[in-house]
Amino acid sequence: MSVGKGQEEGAGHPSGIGIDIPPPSAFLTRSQKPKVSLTMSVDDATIRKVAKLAHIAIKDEDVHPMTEKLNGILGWIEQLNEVDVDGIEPMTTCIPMTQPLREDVVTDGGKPEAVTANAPKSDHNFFVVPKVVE
Amino acid sequence: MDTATLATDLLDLTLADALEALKAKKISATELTEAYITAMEGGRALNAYTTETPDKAREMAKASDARLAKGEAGLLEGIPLGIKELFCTEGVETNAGSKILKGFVPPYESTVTQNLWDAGAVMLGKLNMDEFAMGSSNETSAFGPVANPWRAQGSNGTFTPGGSSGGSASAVAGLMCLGATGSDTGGSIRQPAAFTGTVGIKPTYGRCSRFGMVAFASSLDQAGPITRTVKDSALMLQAMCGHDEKDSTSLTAEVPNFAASCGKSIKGMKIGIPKEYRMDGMPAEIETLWSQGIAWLKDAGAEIVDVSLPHTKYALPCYYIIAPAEASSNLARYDGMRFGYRAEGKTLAEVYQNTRSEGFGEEVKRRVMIGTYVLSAGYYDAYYLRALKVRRRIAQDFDEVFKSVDALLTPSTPSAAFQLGERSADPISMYLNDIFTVTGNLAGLPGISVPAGLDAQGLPLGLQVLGRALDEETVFAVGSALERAAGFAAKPEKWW
Repeated sequence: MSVGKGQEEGAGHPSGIGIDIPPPSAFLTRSQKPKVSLTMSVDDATIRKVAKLAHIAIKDEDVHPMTEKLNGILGWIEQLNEVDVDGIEPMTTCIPMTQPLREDVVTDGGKPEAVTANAPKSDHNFFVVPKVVE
Repeated sequence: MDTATLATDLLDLTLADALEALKAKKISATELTEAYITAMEGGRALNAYTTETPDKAREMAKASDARLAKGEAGLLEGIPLGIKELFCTEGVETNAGSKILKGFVPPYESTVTQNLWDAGAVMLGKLNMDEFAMGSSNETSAFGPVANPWRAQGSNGTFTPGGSSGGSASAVAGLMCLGATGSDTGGSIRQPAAFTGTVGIKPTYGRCSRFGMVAFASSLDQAGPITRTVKDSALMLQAMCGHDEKDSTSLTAEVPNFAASCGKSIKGMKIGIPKEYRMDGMPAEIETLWSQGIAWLKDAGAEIVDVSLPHTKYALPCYYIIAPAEASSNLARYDGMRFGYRAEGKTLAEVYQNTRSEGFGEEVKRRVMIGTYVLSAGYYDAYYLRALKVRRRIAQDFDEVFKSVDALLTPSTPSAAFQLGERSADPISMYLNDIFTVTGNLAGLPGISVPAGLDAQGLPLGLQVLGRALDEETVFAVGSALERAAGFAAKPEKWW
């Protein structure tokens, strides 16, 4: 089977399956402003900031490639702006159900050995963590 | 009969056949388990199992034989299963395919696996997967990719079994277990099933408890089985399902006898064919297979109805906001303090950052970054809130069509299995694997993939049946009608 068929036929995105998704650049250059005003691209400074928020160390040489990969994905995601969502409630659950409540009682516990068994460092059933207060 | 022949015959039994043979005392759970331990150990080249638990399997099989002797057989008594790496198993490493959880030994059991053991099933070991279930080819696993037992004709290349439940699909297709647990957030049960000529079902969201499942995107994650036949999936799913007060999204609905729906007539049923799933540039073989599936269901007495799901094309971009957003929140717990990998650092912040940088793979880091970005101040409304609204539009499309049809028929995947390395450079081309399956996750609907034929290269292709919420029974009925008509009997040639 020709999984690369779409590509040969020059479909928009190099997806290999030729689904009609314009390349991210098509979104980035289009003149028509999306309904919700958004800058659908990130720069290196934003990537550094997001990495910090996510507590992920990122090497200097990895910042720009990450910016490019994320911009590719964000550009593709931008098509959501075409959808009319006026008056639509955000969906947070698939099957409508009421939040179950239970008695506020202790149902488990008293197992400090089990709780700390997987800790990278522990001592006398306490987690040993790096110094927090200088 | 010599032992070798007997062992092969044992492996040829389906899960349903094995249950009957066990109950009729034609075979013992111990014999069956030994045959699978041998197959598992002989199949290491596929890298499907990350941890083998033969001693535990023998012990469980012995207990099964004792229960069978007393006539106290459970629903899956004596059936050897493989368990995806993200189901916590007490005393057995559970690493979700990640370096950050390497060596993590849960002190508790997931509800789904507990349900399986309570039904008498036997654990053979843990199965490889994409890291934190983020991937469609098993290539993001920290423990190496899994090989598909299937290869294109005349090729000695290694093909992906799909993902993220790649180890599960490979182990079932390679006859290294009778069934395996999987989990499906965007297609991670149905896509690997399609790539390996096996059956996989994702039930309605909330049917299976998520307690003890390593979380990826909690509003989408749902467990389900991968097996050889539709009936086998029905039997296994029944044992996995059920209300659990440890998961607040677990449904209280009764679990029907799913196996009773297999083989039921579909005469007079209305089957919808969503026109938006016929995509430009779709490989001709997928088109042909789909048309064939339509013809099969027509022959079985179903009425075919053209329907429209207008928001289909927005499902994947919508998913790639919601899933990373939930993942960035769920994966915040991996900080190197209470469990898992811990890296060195000069300050506490550096310890966190280095731990997560070294412990997570590239795809996981990418998704955590996207999730953090779309949830960050100033972008939440534009990305996340908007995606939740689009999600409702997608769900409403289904509500509308299910007023007039009983189930939908679509292809499972836009292509057959591809070779390892072929798509790993471009994230979006990898994401497109889930184009036909992801809608079922966003709307919470049950979906099954049934093997329906081979492509020109001799690789399996699957068809998907989507049903109404909580109507797995219709999904099983239509799925087994497809299975009967397709008569899929091809097997991968053993090269491993």
